[in-house]
Amino acid sequence: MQEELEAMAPLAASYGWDVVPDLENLTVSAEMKSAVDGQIYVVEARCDGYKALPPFFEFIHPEDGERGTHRCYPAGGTFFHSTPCICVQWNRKAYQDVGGPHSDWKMADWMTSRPGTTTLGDMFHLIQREINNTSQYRGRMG
Amino acid sequence: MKNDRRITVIIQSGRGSQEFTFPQQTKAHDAANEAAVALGYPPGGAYVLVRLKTGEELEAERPLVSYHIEDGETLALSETGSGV
Repeated sequence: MQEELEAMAPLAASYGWDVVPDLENLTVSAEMKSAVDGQIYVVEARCDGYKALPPFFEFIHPEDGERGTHRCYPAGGTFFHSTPCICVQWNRKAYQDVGGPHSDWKMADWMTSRPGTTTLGDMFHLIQREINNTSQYRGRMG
Repeated sequence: MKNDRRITVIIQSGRGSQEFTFPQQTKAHDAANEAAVALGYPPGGAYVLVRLKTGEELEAERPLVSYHIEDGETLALSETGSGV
């Protein structure tokens, strides 16, 4: 986990992410800003069992710390599901085993289903890309 | 000759950052693929470059020179794709 955070540090600096690792509790959060509307999003990756299991991503409201509700999430595009969750194989929350929408995915296969997105840096980067996407991003979900 | 000119860029990704030098006529997707492999991504994937200075996503078939990218500029590399 620490090695991946070090590798993504230049990218984090370029995007202005405020990355807060908590290595003892195996979590890391990143605060990032949408280039479309200036909204601030805080996304946390819980990494217990990583990499046998994908991280569990959750959005946290930057103003009051509320977790996992629609108002914490961005909307638009194909990644942000109304559950709400980031609906992609590298997010543990997307699997039905933990309440997500997908019963058709095997969590053990997550590394091979999207081999170009298997590090924390890749994942945070894709979230940033989604909230910067002028044609798909729709502001906050709620 | 103009076509022999090269451009040096910094390409950052979730897996690290590295300097690359390409002929100016290199297509964006060729530059992205070369950088991806060098940075540890699997070959054969679909990758995209974003110009951090402007937020512009480089179109796959356009040559780097057509974006007037400055020497030393920083680009961000990631896998393309959508959620499900």
